Amino acid sequence: MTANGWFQILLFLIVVLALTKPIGVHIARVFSREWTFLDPVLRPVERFIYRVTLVDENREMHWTEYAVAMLSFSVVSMVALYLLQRAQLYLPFNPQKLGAVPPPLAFHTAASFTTNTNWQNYSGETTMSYLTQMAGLAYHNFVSAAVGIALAITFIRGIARRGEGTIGNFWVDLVRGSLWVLMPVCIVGALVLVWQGVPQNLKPYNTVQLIEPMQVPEADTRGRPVLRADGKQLMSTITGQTIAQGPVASQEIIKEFGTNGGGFFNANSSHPYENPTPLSNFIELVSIFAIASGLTYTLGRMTGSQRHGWAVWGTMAVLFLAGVTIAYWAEAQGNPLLPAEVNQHATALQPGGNMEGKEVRFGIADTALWAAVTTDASCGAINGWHDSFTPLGGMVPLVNMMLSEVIFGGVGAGMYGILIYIVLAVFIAGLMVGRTPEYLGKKIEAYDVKMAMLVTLIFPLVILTFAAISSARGFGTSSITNPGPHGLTQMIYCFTSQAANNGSAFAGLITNTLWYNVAGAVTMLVGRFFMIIPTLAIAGNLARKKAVPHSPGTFPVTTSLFSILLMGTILIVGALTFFPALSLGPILEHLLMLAGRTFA
Amino acid sequence: VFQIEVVGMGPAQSLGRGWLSLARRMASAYFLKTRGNVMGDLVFVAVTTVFFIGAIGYVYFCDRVK
Repeated sequence: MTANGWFQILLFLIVVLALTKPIGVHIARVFSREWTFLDPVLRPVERFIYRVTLVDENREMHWTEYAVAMLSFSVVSMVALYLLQRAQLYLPFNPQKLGAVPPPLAFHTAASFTTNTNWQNYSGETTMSYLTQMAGLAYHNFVSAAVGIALAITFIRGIARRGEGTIGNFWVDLVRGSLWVLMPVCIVGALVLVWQGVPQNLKPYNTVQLIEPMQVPEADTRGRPVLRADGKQLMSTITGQTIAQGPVASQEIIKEFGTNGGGFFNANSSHPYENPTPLSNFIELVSIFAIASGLTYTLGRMTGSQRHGWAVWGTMAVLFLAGVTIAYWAEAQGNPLLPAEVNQHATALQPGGNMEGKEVRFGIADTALWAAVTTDASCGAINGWHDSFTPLGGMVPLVNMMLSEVIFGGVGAGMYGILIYIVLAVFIAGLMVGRTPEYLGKKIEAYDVKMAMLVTLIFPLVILTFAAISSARGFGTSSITNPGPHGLTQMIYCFTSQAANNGSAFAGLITNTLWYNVAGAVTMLVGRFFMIIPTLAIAGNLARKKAVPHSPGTFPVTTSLFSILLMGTILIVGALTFFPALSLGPILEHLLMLAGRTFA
Repeated sequence: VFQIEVVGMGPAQSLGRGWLSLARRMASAYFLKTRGNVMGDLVFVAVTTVFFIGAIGYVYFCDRVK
């Protein structure tokens, strides 16, 4: 580890901290329908949208109506994206004449982008037309993020409201989140990325002549290396290269700011056209955490307890720093199995450590930081291969997702996720002192805890069930490219990432198969909607309750004791649920690595 | 070797055509030219629809839990 690396990590956290209040205030004003500086431009647009769509912006919804509206919107959007992929060959903005996406892959991709997961079983540059990328994928990047913000605000309203049966209007929240929060930043951010060198055009791909021919390994349709009769890898000679481009910048910024993560290119943010410079890397990193961090301030402002908002921020920050420290340390240690003559020490000329799967221009610190950030949030964008991390380094992103991505988390999803943990934490605190648990003046009762437990249990249920089936049946194991515990980690990571709506791939596992497409799609849909619904139920139930006065027995939620209890709840729930799976995966791989054991 | 061009109006023009126009083109292109895969598409659209009907049922289940 180097001072430069730590400087970059701490600078990142300081910038995120500095943005928390302005973003949080802006979001609170937008959803409280207070005046903002964008109103003169956006209010007429908003009114026009409501007039065209026949939405009564002053009509509030019960939580069930809100949930059905959200589900209706999602199913229509998902089917539209599916059909767009299937018909893209005959639609405009397809200069490469890319064919129709096969049905299982189109189904998986539609589920993936509708749920804000953005797991990609395809390479964007060879599969999706510009129209699909813009009107299908980028559109979902906006609206799935706006849905997440709306749901977080709904939960916050549930806490803040007193004796009301409604929690807001889904259509209004969706429109305001898109217009006031996401669009302005993305317009500016896309231009900044263009300045940094990210393409934004609709031109056909360029073909360039290489300066000298190159030998490249042949791969079959599943990506496996093709071997010759003598067992060596079959190589072919290439003399030219196709340079993919397109409307990248506009998709790149919402990919990060909306914590979506689906790359325009297969290599995601390690591709020089998605992430060309250290500055673009830093901007994209900050974009991932910006809204989630701001929402902690929004929580404090809308519930009238700003110190509580900061206590939640502090909890998230401590857990974030713990994760990034472990990942950075593990990667900086390097690979003990490499021969002694391989110099893995950091010097002025090389970053040292385990550089497999990492971009030289980002090095160990920025790659470890990105891995922690992208899996703390439900982003899923990557700037290095998690599969190539050391066992413990690779375990960090996995654990971050297993904790339900509440360390800042996805836009909105992180906030309502940690509010579920807060409900559990104050419930436990209430049990300890023998009083009915209260949270910001609301009694936490049996119904709230039952719904919170539904959220908590559905998540591991879907991950472990599908991972178990995959590891026991040939249609699952045939996709493993690394035998031993690493292969199991690939599988667990695959379903964890999809259930958590993260979308980052550990890589290595061949997932563009019928089983992984269908199972993955179901995992994402359950992981998103079957967790949102009980969350909305809690919000609706809290909104209905009257406030109880603060008393000496009330557990304070603004102190470090609260933060420690919240951290303990998050870690214990995550550890108890997933420790056995982790033991058989990355932990076992680490111990075997120390013993010198590898798997061919 | 090649030029990166900023074409800000591309996405705006695309969206400007309107969702209705897009849907009409998609439908005509799909039914005229993608006949061979209609069955597969029906399966996945049906799965999607069934999932969301189940999710709406789940909403009312959660509402009735005491």
